[in-house]
Order: sequence, then structure tokens, then C-alpha cells
Amino acid sequence: MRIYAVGGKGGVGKTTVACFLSLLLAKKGKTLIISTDLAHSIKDFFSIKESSQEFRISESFIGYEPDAREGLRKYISGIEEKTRRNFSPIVFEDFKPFLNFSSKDPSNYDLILYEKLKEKVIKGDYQFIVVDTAATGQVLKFLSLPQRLLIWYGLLLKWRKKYVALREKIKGKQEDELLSMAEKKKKEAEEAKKKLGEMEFIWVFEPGTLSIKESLRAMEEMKGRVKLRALVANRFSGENRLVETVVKRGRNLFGEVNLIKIPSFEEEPFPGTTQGEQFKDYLKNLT
Amino acid sequence: MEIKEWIKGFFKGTFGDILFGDLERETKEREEILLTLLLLHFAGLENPLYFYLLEVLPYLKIDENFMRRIIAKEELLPVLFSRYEGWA
Repeated sequence: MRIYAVGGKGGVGKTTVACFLSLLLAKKGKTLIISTDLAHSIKDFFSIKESSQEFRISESFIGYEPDAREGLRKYISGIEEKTRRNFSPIVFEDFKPFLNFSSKDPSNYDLILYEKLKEKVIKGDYQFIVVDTAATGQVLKFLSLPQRLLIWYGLLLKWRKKYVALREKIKGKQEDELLSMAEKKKKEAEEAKKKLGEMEFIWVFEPGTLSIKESLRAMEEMKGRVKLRALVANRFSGENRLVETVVKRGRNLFGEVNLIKIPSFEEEPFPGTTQGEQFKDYLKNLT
Repeated sequence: MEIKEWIKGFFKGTFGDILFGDLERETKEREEILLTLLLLHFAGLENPLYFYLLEVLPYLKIDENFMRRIIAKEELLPVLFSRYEGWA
């Protein structure tokens, strides 16, 4: 399995690059494109009317736009349901408003999106996964989360093992659900760390000052944490000093990095159009 | 059968609690420490782990005396606070 992540400042053409790249990859093997932006646009790109989160674009090409809001709501209500059984009703009633609050906390969206991505990475039988990301920070979060979770589940296991050992002395041997949950989650985090660690990053930018500055900053941040596969200069026209700066910095930080220059088109490149075919041709080097 | 239960209860009351009292207390404390960590977040202390602590919630058994016990254990909170500092 190969995982590509496409990133860049808003509006530079991340989704266009991610979608055309996936179209190319889908010819080689089963491909999944997943959007981790809250404002999804894969369906719009392929003009798909279906309302389901997961949809088929072609025979070997699946699209996935996870709904983070709904995911969080479901996650919390699952916890609420299970908790109701073990808590005294008085404590539970006091606790419920807090759970409701958590189910609407936007800072949890990224964590839900990570869970969805992890599920696909671990359990999916895809040959290629392309991640259409929201922001650089989000990708770095996805990459660092497994390590942080390994520490957390390690700690939880340590605590719980002590607890289970004590309980065994008093009440005898008993199956501990929390212990097995933590063990399972730790294993998943290990697997996610391994697979997401091999992620190849494609950075899209356009030759504008803001996009260039963001690119330079993002590359510094990504150094040592992710493999930079290619730089895509979108809407590129003629020689540009700013683009050279980015490429130079990229090669300084990551060694050999591909540069793909894509000119601006008179009409927007969409699948099935001549412009679309031309756009796709520029990305052939990446597959 | 009744005599058997009675004898069992007699021995637990006379010796069992003395032998296992400390263990029982520690076991209970270990379970409660997890929930206290979680509640601290809801009390307004940012806890970077709280989202993942939530998934632990269904595995903990809590009765209505829980808060009373936590408040009674004044020494527990400073310990948790000092641990928390390391995480921030």
C-alpha cells in the first residue's frame, strides 16, 4: 500500500491535483481518495450526486468524504450508551451535559478524521490511498498522533495491569475489558505509525507571495517527519524567481525532490475535458 | 448452605478485611484516579488526553459516593495536579 498526501495553502489546487493523481493511480490498482477537509469537494469535482460518505467513482476507484461532525456525535453517543450501564444514575445525569458538550467540540474533528483515516489504512485493501488534506498542521497531527497514542496506551496499560493484579489478589482472575481495549488500540497505533510513516507528501503551491511563504514555512516544519515526494507549481507561467526559491529550499531540506510545473488553463480542468487530460499528463511522473 | 454462607461471612469479617483492606482500597483508588483525571478536564483544566480518556469511561464503575470520596481525599488532588504539569 502506498499513501500519498496532497497539501498546500487554501485555493492552490490541492483537490484538483489529488483527484487527477487518484485517477491515474486507479488505472494501476484499487485506489481510495479520502478528503480530510471539513468542506469536502471531491464529489463536486467528479459531479457525483450520491449522498453517502463513501462512493464509487469508477471500477477500482472509491471516494470517501467522512463527515466529522456526525462521526463525533456517533462516537460520543456510543460512549454515553456504554457508560449509562456502569455509572450510578445520579452521577450519570450530572455527567451527561459534559458529554453533549464534547460531541459538539470542533477541536475533536481532526481526531475523528484521524480515526477514519486509520481505519482505511489498517483495514482497507487498497493499493493506493490519496489524502486530500485541509492544512499542513493537520497532516503533521495525523503523523504525530500514533506516537502520542502509543505513549498514552502504554501508560494506560501500565496503570491497568497494576490494578488488575491487585484485583486478582482479592477477587481472583477476571477478564478485564479495559485492558484488552487498550492492548487492541495500542496495536492499532503501532500499525498506523508504521503505515502513515511511509506517507509520501505532495506539496502544491502557486507562484504568489503568500503561497510561497507558507510553502517555505511548511517545508521547515515537515523536515524529518514526512517524505516530500514532489513540489507541484500550479498555475505556473514562465520563469519565476519565487518558484526557484521553493525548489532550492525543498532540495536543501529533503534531497532530491521532483518539481512539476503546471500552467494555468483557460478553462478549469475537469475529468473528461481536454484541459483535464492535459492536467493529468503533467502528473504522470508521480505514479 | 446457610451455615456455609455464615461461616464464609464470619471469616471475611474477622480476617479477610484485615488482610485485604489495604489492597481493596488501592484497587478502588486506581480505578478512581482515571475518572478524576477525566473530571479535571470538565472542571476547566485543559487536558490534552481528555478525548482518549473519554473512551475509558465506559469501563469504569462509578457510584454516587465517588465525588464524596474524592473530596474527602484532600491529598489526591495535589498529586494529580503535579502530574498534570508534566503533560502540559
